[in-house]
Amino acid sequence: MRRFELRGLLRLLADHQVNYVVVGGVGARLQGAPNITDDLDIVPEPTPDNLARLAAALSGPVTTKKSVDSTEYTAHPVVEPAEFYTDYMAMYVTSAGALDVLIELPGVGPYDALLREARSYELPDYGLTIHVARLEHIIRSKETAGRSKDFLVLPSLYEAATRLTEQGDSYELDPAALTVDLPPTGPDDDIPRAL
Amino acid sequence: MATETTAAAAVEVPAKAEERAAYYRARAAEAMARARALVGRPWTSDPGLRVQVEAILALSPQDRLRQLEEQVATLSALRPLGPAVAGR
Repeated sequence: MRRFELRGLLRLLADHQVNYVVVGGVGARLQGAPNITDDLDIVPEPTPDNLARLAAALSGPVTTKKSVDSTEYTAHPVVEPAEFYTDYMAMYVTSAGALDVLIELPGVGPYDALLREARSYELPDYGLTIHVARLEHIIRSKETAGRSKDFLVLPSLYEAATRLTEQGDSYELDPAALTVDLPPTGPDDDIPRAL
Repeated sequence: MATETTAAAAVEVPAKAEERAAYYRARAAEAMARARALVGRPWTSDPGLRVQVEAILALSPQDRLRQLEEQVATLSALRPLGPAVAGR
């Protein structure tokens, strides 16, 4: 049985201090879509340091990578940052499960474009807060990719997006919660600062 | 439409970053129009789907992920592993 441990995958990324936004099926599930996926799709911050950390996180003796134009996964213990740019989607299987890396979400853009409107969720048991691409962006990526399997999930995504638009998500972290009021240090310093 | 798609695919992707971005934006807009036409507009809500969405959103985020993991495990246990899928 193929392993799929989201906690392990997210922990792996956190332990290596990788900055990323969750997209794809896991991002859609976090926003109410009932579709099932068995891999974690992420768009990393495309800085050299961050991509190096991501490559280090994915590297390992059991790591495999999907070959281009094939369904085969082959041993790939050492991941290089440049790989993330060579394929539309670089697909790996780690000890915790499958993880796909996209430098850019089709039809939307890179990390910065996603992060600006991302939803944030706290996972207390995992000890993590994660950023998830807004469902409208995930929908746009599926519409843009245009594969049959993408079209099949669109009705569920539209349904979840409609529900979120109408009532929101009570578990979404309020951006205001990420700011803190620091005590003023002088007469001109009385403006709340964002973390 | 098939002719347009073929013609568009034959166009070489521009080398300049700005032109390339515009090219991909245009391709994305075409793809979105095709997807929406295929899925059907105006889209109408499905009560069965809505119930599932409500049930998921009633869970905490980590419970949403746990539920997904459990569903994957259940499906994986049912799926016979052949050579083509054993690696993944």
